[in-house]
Amino acid sequence: MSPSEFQLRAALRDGEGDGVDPDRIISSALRLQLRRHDRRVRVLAVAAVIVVISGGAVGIAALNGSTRESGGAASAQSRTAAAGAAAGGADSGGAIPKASSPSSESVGASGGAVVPSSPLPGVTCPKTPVSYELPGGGGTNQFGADGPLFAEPVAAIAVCSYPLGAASPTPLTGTAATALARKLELEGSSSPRSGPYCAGQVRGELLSFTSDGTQLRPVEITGTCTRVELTNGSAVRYVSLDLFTQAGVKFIPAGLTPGKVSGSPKR
Amino acid sequence: MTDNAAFRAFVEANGAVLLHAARLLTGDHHRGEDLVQTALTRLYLKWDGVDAPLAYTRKALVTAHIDSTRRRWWGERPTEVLPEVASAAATDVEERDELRRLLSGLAPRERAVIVLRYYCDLSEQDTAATLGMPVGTVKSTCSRALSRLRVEAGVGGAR
Repeated sequence: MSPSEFQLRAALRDGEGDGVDPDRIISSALRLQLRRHDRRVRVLAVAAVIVVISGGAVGIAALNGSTRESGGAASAQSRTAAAGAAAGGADSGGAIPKASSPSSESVGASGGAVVPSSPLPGVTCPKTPVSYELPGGGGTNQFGADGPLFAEPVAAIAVCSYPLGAASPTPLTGTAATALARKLELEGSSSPRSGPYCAGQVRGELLSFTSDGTQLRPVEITGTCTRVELTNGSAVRYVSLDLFTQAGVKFIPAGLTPGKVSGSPKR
Repeated sequence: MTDNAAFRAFVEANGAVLLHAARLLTGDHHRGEDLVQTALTRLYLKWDGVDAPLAYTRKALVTAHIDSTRRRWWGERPTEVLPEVASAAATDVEERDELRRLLSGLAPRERAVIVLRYYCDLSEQDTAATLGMPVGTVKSTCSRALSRLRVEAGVGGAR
């Protein structure tokens, strides 16, 4: 005979009687509450540390980005500026590697660097042009190659052509300066261009100034009469020498013996 | 701050029933004790925000039990072929023992329905609310469980 629901209930109630100790429940609950609180505090502490570290990393990255934009000198360790003059050295703020004070920078016997009639009085060319040791030998694949050649708007330019001659520096001001700077920045290619063979090396340094007279990072100029490489230590541009010629800047390529190339770009 | 006096009074009034229900659900004396301690601990931590502590605790019991059976199966398996009853002339005690043995062979949800309906005396609606399932599912589950227990469902069934 199948049991009834009444019998089922009775069977279920069989054994009922043991009570529960409420104090044991309370102490167990309080221990659990304490463990949860400790865990919450630990999680918040770890989260706070992560936020601080992330914030610091973002700040450092932003700071590096701003210093890089100001002159491309994000890492002083990766490049050395072999300035002709002693002053300066490349500091991380993108500073100019050498000072352009007339007293220390006068050109030797080959000719006066100071052009009395220059619209840029006091601007002199260093004895030897700047030479940047770029990471990995430089070129278009290096970090920052596509960066700006000029960190700020250019109001005046002085182009020093080596060997220094009476025509150095070639001063450019006003629209001539801004036009040349724009062309070098925008029309310059970030990859080398091929061109007809030209025996002759050009070597120069481009000094640029903002409207308030602040000197920007010097630009090294190397190349041949058809293909010229410009770099400020990180950004790289390849242009035709014609851009300078059109602006009235004359380079006298060295080593004009036909078929011979005097030296090679310093890399 | 939890009202410890009120909580103590609740546990003293309902602890025995809740403990027994936990033992019926788990089919084990000690696991039942652990289960009721878990449920009452949850109740204590939420005491101030709970309007119906008995209903809350029953729900906590069932939920904790079903969750634990999802993690591990205690070796109890619902069987399709029910084992034979010991003897035709079983005493009441033996019958009760047999029912309890069959109860332990039910699936967790079936067992929960039987305990809530026939031990806690909940209605189908309250059982459905406690288990979080539709009333129709409670009815079908209950019917299936009763057939496994070989219990003759009375006319009109439980309340």
